[in-house]
Amino acid sequence: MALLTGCVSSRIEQSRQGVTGIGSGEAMVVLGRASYNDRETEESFTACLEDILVSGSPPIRMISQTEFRDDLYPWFEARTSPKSARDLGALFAQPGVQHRIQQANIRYLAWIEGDTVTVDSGGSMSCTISTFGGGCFGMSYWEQDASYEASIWDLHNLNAAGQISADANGTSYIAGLILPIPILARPGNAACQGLAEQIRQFIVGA
Amino acid sequence: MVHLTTRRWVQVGAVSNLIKRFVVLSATLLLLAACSRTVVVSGTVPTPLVAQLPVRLGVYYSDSFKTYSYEESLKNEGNWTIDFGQQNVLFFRQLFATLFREVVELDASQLSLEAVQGLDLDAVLIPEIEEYGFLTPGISGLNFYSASVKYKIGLLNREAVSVGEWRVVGYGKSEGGSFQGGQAVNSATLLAIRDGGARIAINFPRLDFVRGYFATIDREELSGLIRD
Repeated sequence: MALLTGCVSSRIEQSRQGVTGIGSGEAMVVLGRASYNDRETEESFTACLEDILVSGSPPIRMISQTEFRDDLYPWFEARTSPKSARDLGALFAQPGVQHRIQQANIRYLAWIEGDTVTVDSGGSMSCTISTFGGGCFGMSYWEQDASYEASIWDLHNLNAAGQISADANGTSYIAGLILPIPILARPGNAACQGLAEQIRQFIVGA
Repeated sequence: MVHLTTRRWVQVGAVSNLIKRFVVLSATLLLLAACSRTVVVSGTVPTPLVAQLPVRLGVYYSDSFKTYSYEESLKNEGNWTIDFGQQNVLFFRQLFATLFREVVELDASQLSLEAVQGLDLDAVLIPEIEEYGFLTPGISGLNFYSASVKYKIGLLNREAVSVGEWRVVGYGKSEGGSFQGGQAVNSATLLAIRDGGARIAINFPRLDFVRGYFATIDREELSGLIRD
């Protein structure tokens, strides 16, 4: 059954603080900023960013965050990771860290913060099944807001290269007409696509 | 006509029985899943990237540490058993082997002055698990699972006398769907062990009582490392 898609409105903003560019063989890492409250970037979102950046034109060589965190353990755990680009100098002074990063030829780190939340919902739908058949009747909706920000650090110059933010909003519906008919807006997916392409242009551009 | 009608009712009856069996089977499986869960925590063990202290250390892993298992009965979520003793030992073996130049695993009978000096150890470490806890979305009302492990790290000198203890809590959280609770608790516990390990790898050599004791060991290369 073909999936009906709802409408999503999105906005991407960028702030550049330095010259960028990525050489042949250089890599990038996307890390979700961990926090100890309810709001944390979903692993699926950072995985989505990696998938888009590694393909497309031009593709960017990616190091998975799992591999990166294991290789640089314990320096990029939730409570030990550097909080700003200013901390990179102290981090690189730790034995083996700079060598490990240079060995992997990692040029940029992108810290991703934000999440997708449901801001409104309503309606009702009931479904029933019996020995003589079943079906659904009614309609429900939910509105989601996806808001993410990427802070990009240049590991060669040990500074912050810039920030990119992505905001997307959309409302999904499920109509029950015997069969449930979903009309899904996917703001998280739209934010991922927009943010990934903007990161690519930012990294590759001047 | 009568034969066709009878045949149609027989077919409807057969389908009805099939649906009933499916519903009963599904309900039974769900009920069984809700009654008890056992999570044997397992995952990768990273090698820490830290400066190595040039000391020969004995490490004692008690039986309770090696076989640590936590049980709790949750209202509406059944009985949970979290078994992470094995993973813990694997993790700490890797951690201490990287943090210290030489590590000798001891048994309980070797926690004596004669044994420590006989093995020419600089010190003895005794890690213990003091507490473990986890939360599910059903308890916390949040949309993730979390776990915490409280470790106690004791340090004995060459006379097998305690020179200090340090308590550190590791914390981890993980997303999980309705039927992925076991996987999420596994991930959260692994992250808690990693978090505790990270704190130990970075902070343990900098603790005052640790630096104070290692300063008594006459080794030039050691004094430079513990000075930082």
